[in-house]
Order: sequence, then structure tokens, then C-alpha cells
Amino acid sequence: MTETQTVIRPEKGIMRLNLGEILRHWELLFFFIWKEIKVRYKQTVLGIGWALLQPLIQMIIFSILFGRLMKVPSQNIPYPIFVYSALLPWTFFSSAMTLCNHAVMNHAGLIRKVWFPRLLIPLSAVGTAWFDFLAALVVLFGLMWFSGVAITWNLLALLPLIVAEILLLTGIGSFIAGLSATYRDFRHIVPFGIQIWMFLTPVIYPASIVGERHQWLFNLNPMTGIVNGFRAAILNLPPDWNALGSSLGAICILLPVGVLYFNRVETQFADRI
Amino acid sequence: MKMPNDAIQILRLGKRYPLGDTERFDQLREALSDWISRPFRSINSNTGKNDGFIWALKDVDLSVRSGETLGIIGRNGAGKSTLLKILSRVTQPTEGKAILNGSASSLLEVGTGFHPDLTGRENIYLNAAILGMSRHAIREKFQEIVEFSEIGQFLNTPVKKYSSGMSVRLAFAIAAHLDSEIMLIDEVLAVGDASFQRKCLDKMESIARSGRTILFVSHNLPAIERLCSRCIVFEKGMIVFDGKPNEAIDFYYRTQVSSGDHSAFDLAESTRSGTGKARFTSLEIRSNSRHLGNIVQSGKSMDIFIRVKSVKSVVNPQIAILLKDQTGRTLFGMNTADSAIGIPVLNKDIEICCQIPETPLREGVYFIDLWMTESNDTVDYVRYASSVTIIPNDSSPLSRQVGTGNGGLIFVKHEWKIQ
Repeated sequence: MTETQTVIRPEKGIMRLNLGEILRHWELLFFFIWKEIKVRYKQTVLGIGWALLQPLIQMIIFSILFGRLMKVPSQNIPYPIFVYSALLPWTFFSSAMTLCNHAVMNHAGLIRKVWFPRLLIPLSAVGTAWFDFLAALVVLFGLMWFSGVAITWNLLALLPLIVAEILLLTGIGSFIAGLSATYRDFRHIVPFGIQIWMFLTPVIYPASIVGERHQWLFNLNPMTGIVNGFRAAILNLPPDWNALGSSLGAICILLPVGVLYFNRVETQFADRI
Repeated sequence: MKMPNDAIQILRLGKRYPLGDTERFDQLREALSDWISRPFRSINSNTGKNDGFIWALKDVDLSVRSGETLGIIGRNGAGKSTLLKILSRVTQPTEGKAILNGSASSLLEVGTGFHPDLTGRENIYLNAAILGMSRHAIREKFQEIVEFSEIGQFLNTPVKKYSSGMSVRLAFAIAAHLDSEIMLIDEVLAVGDASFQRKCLDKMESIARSGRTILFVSHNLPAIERLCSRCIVFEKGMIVFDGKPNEAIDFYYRTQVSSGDHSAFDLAESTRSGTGKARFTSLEIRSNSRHLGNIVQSGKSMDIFIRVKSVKSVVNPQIAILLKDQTGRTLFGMNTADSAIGIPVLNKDIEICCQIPETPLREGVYFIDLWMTESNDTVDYVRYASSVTIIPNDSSPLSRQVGTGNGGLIFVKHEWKIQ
């Protein structure tokens, strides 16, 4: 007699979420991420350079536009490193969202034919974006040295911040992946949404630009706390605990909501897409 | 209680699909406007909303013993593939349940999950992982997979540069080396050249003998007869026969014939191209060998009856029947232009017949395309209108595929003499 038994029956809602199954498939998650990265670096001439170039070019353009020409205040820190410290978590966010947006359709052939825990789809999208993030992190250290920013123990605060951002992206990413697969027109809204979201997040400007009275409203954006946190850890600034706290609160809500929503609509994928 | 050594137990399993677009929204815009207008709609306006369904599978009860090789046959849309999809967890059943004792993997279509930009080596790892193999197991079986697939020197070449035969070989090699206890196989043998098909069949036979449970959906009836110990026939989402493979195949053809016109292959739903001035509506194969339906004995007669429906008049039409092998290569064609019969104007429905007195094909499954032209225009072209299964001729053992199948597909009447 064998030990594994699978019962297949119509199931709905929260009962279907089987985290153990996802843990058992961690190798497949690894393979999905590996495939994504491998394919991308085979398809582009720049290869891994692309991951580095994207935030670097953005940094240069933003530095000229906002730092030089518009003189956006940057708390007396050289604008390039000021903006890069925020572009780092922001690029992670925007590329993860873009990947999640198309993730289900990109796996349509597989979904129709083979079973695997479908949650691996948004998870691998976040994982792929995370790989690019790591490459951009290496550039950060070079930039810090170049702009004469002290490398301190504060940088260790990046570790919990990265974990928090991964959890946040998993929540929002699963939600977006589920919506884009269920409603075909949602896909077109996402890039636009990401763009607007960036201007609502203190990436190109300091959070202090928003007055005290409206700070709480600003903090409702879960990326505010994360981006502020990154900037504080990298540039030795005092952390904004309020913003961080509200980000953590948002994660506690968005992670389960996103994952459960994806889990609910996922049963329809094979028949619909 | 069920026997403890059942590998699969299925109880009243059913799967319902919505017909058309009822009760689903593909656009967020539609879903939102439906949601907003819902409270304002009167209650009786949603009558008739729930009857737009079709049961792809209904009340299926089945238990498969551990180690059994079960063949599943039936016409397209009879529910065979839906059953496999449910068992492989790709789609959920609407009602009932199924219990699988042991790890299961599905091989629903060869090449699923190959990425064209990745090399053969990379794709072996990726595909095996998708089918449920661990990295450790893949590394262990890697050499065996490469050897079986015969892709050797192309291991580091991107799969997009492979011929279709090569990708098929690689895909089957990976799937054949899975070590799951239950294998769900849908129509894998319908591709590849004859010698590789033979190799696949041998491999599957050895898998079957190794005590694993196999569910095997195929139109390749000789393969079913050879591999399976038991066979079920599906019709309209239900199991209508359960028994020995040869009896099941007989039953399958008997029911096709007894339901009148259904012995003919209905072409209404086929994919086709052309101007549409006339349409092929059905194709039927008859033979003087004792077999019914689309089974013909090698060397015996094969009469192909075709019905044509006239839409507009077609001047001097030419009608051709093309016979193809499983790789899609045309073996030979028969054209009305080759014969004395001529149709000056086609302006009413007709039935024509093409008679092949001695079918020159060896054992295997072949496909038929129908093609009608008017001067240089295609009027109607139906790809894969039907398949025909050639079985060996008892009185002529040569018609059997010998050895590795290198005897070719065409059986030419000939004589040998020692001078």
C-alpha cells in the first residue's frame, strides 16, 4: 500500500488553501524562477546587465530632471543616491507587479494541461523580480561608496524590510494575477496603476514634503513605509515608525486577502483561459 | 468498503460546463456593471440563466485496481479527456469525488511546458520538475532520458531548433521515466515516426508490467488492445461499456454503426477552409474484411464514401482524398481527375465513393484529408476528416510491422524468386 492519497472533490473557499502542498513544491518554484531568468537573459543582448541598467538609467534621468532642474529637496543628501535608495525597493515592486499581471497567461499552456499549486505562479513572478532586485542591490553598494555615504550597521535593517516587501508583493501580486486572469480588461489598467502609484510613494521626493496633517493619509500607501525604511537604512536617517507600522498592518491584511482571492479564482483558470 | 488495493476510486463524478457565455464575465467592465445593476433587476429576469449547461461527465463510477492498465476509448467529446483532466487535478469536478491512492502524474500532451529558448538539457530539468520529479530524481534518471530520446548531440541546442520528431521523443522520454504509481496518459502515441512509436509502445508495456497503474486514452485502438488489460467506452459523458479491450473495441464500433448515420464520420464540426460553395458533410469507411467502422485489414478493400452538400453551384469540381501518416506526411492521394468520372456541375447534394481494392498500408493509424477544388480555388478542405486504423492481415504476415518498424508504411504486393 502506498502512503500518498489524494482526494479530488469539488472544493470551494478557504478549505482549498493547502500551504503544505506549496512547501512540498519549493523545487518547482525554484525551477520556474530559474526558467524565467534564464529565458530572459537568453532573449536580451544585455543579459543580466538589464537588471542593473534599469534602475541606473532611471536614477540618472530622475537626478537630472528632479534633482538638477526642479531642485526637489533631498534632505541634504546627493540626489542620485537619495533617489536610488528608493528606486531599489520601487523597481522591485513595479517589476513584480508587471510580471504578476501577465503571469497566468504566460503559463496558460501549462495550466490547461498539468496540475501544480497555482500559487507558484505569482510566487515565481515575485521571485524573478527579487533576483533583479539582488543585482540592483550590488550596484547600490558601489553607488554608496562613490557618493561617500558611510556603510553602517544600519544596513542590516534592510533584511527585515526585504522580507516585508516580499510578503507585501506576494499579497498584492496574487491579487493582481487573479484579477488579470479573470477579467481580460484588467490587464491594461495595471501599468497605468503602477505609474500613478509611484507618484503617490516618496520615491523621487522625501516623505517630509507632505505636511504633518496629511501624513496619515500618505501612510495608507503600504509602499510608503517600505520605501522610507529603505532610504532610512541606507542613508542613516531616523526611521519613520508610523509609516512602517502602517505598512506592516497593510501586509497583515493584503497578504491573506490576495492569496485567498487568487486561490478562489484559480479553480476557473483551466476552463477559462 | 472498497477493496484496499484499488489505485483509483471514482464515485458519481460529474463535470458541468456552461454553454456559451452564460454566467461568466470576461471583462471587469461587464462584471462591475452586472454587480451595480443587480439590485435594480427584477427577480424573474434571471430565469433561464441556469439551463445553459452541458454535462461533459455525468455519474461516473469506476474503480481501477492497482497495477491495472485501463484503456479509455470513445468519440471526441465523449468525456475521456475530461475524466483525465479531473484525475490530474487540472480542473475540478462539479460533483462526486475521486480518490487516488499513490502519487499520480499526467502526460496529457507531449511537449507541454517545453520552452523553445531553453536547451534540451534545461528543458529536461524544467519539464521533469513540472511533471512532479524532484531534482535528485531527475539527476539520477538524466542519462537514461537522454539515451531513450536519442537527442544526444543536440542536448545543448535550444529546443526551438529541434524537429517536431525530436521534441516528441524528448518529451516522451521524460514522461516515461517518471516514477509515479499512477500514470494518466492522453493520446501520446499519435505522433512520432513509426520506429519511435514502436519504442514508445514497448516502453509503455514495460511500465505496465512494472506494476504501475495506467489510464490510457487513445484513438489508437491496436495500441489499446496490445497494452491494456481492461477497457472502458465513453459516450456522452458516461461509461457505456467496461470489459476486455477486444470486446470494448467491438462494442465501440457496433454502437457507432447501430446508431444509424453515426457510422459515418460527421464533418459538420471539423476545421476547414475554402470558399464554401460546397461542403463535405460526412465520410464513411467500409471494408470487406469482417471489421466495422474505421478498421481495415491490410490488403483488404477500403471503400471511402463521401457525402457532399451543395451550397452554390461548382463548375467542374475535383475531389481528392489524401492519406497521411501520423506525422502528417501525405502518403498518397486519390483524385477524381485521375479517373474517368467527371462532374460537369455540382449543384445538388451527392454521395461519391472511392474504392481501393487492396489497401496498401501496413498496420497503424492513418489520417484522411478531403479536398475539393474548382479550377484553382479550394472549395472545401477538411484536415484530419477521419482516421483509419489498419490491422494486420492474418493471411499475409508481411503486412505486420516487423522489428523496429523499418519496413515502411506502404505494403507493396510483390514476389521474390531465386534465379
